[in-house]
Amino acid sequence: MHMSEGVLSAPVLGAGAALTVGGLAVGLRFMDNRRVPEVAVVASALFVASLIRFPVGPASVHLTLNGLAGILLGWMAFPAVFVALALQALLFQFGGFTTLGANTTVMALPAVVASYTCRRMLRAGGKTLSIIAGAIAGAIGVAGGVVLIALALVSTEESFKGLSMAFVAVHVPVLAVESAITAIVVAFLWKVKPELLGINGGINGDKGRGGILKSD
Amino acid sequence: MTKNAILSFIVLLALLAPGAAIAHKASVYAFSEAGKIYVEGYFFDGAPCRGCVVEVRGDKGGSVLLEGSTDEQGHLEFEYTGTYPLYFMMAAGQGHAASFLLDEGQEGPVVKDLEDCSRDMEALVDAAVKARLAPLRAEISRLRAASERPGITEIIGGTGYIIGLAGIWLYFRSKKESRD
Repeated sequence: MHMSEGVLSAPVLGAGAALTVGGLAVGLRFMDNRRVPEVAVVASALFVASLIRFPVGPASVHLTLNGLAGILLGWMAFPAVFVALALQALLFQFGGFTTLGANTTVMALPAVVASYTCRRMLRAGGKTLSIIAGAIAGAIGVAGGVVLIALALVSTEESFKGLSMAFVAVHVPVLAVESAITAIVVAFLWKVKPELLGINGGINGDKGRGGILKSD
Repeated sequence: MTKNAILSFIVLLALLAPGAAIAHKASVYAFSEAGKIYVEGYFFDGAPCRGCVVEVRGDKGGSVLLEGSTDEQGHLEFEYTGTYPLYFMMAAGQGHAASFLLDEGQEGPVVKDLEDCSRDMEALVDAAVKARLAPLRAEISRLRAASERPGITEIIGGTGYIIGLAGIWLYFRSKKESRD
């Protein structure tokens, strides 16, 4: 999920940047002082996750954890992803600065979708539903990201279709692994600290995170 | 409050300490070429290890076969036609030591006719250059791999950055709130 400089075309980069600015505006609006540490911790996790790579066929892929970020942060996934990616570009030259907008959108938008899909499920149900919700969030995160990247590549150039297909294929195992991991983490949090998932209140509850739109 | 500050300062110093140790880590390597052994000692930041005592043994625990010290360029060379493997140990001062195991050696040149000589010369030069380059190449590939992979240092650094950014953000936010 880290497009390097010079791959995507200007219109795609522009669209990505615009969407990211929008997402950041919404996310920062919901990020009051009490929620900042939570966002920082998730940003750190996102930062580290992309560094753990495992080989799939000829390529090497990494976990994105954006499904989990979405479930925990909702719209605030935008600032978290943005900071993580910016630091990766700065410290490891991973991705790039012109692509920061596009990369952030690709990872954060599916996170927001996952949060709207799954946080309600978590509020509604019991342990089994929490596992399912976690798996779905993980799947939406990876699938959404992969689809958006494929879209960005093909919009840049028709001939990138083959590359996009390869990209999708290579991320199928990532989808499986990340669904499992997200499910496990969500089930664990459901048992140990449900406030983080929006159940039983928590820091400003569901506001901005895609849960039931009532303030707690 | 002061106790916390002092403890934090000590922890910070402790975290910074290993960096100094790595900077002075020494390394020695040796290769043999045409009946001579060339030893080179240097520190990890590239500076040569001058006047560092090198001990040559048969193996790690064996008795010292030869002893010498490196010159101004960190080099040491001597004739050797004995058995291999050889275990080199270099004392680099301040308690640092480096070691290197040389598995096999290269025998000396055989005197031949003048015609064969020019052909052999090329082969000899080739072999000599290869021998000199081999350890360097290994070192380079190791360094390159290490530099490209983000290590634990970078991870901790990045996490610290994020915590710092969060702190700065909260600081300015709270200032704004206290002003209102």
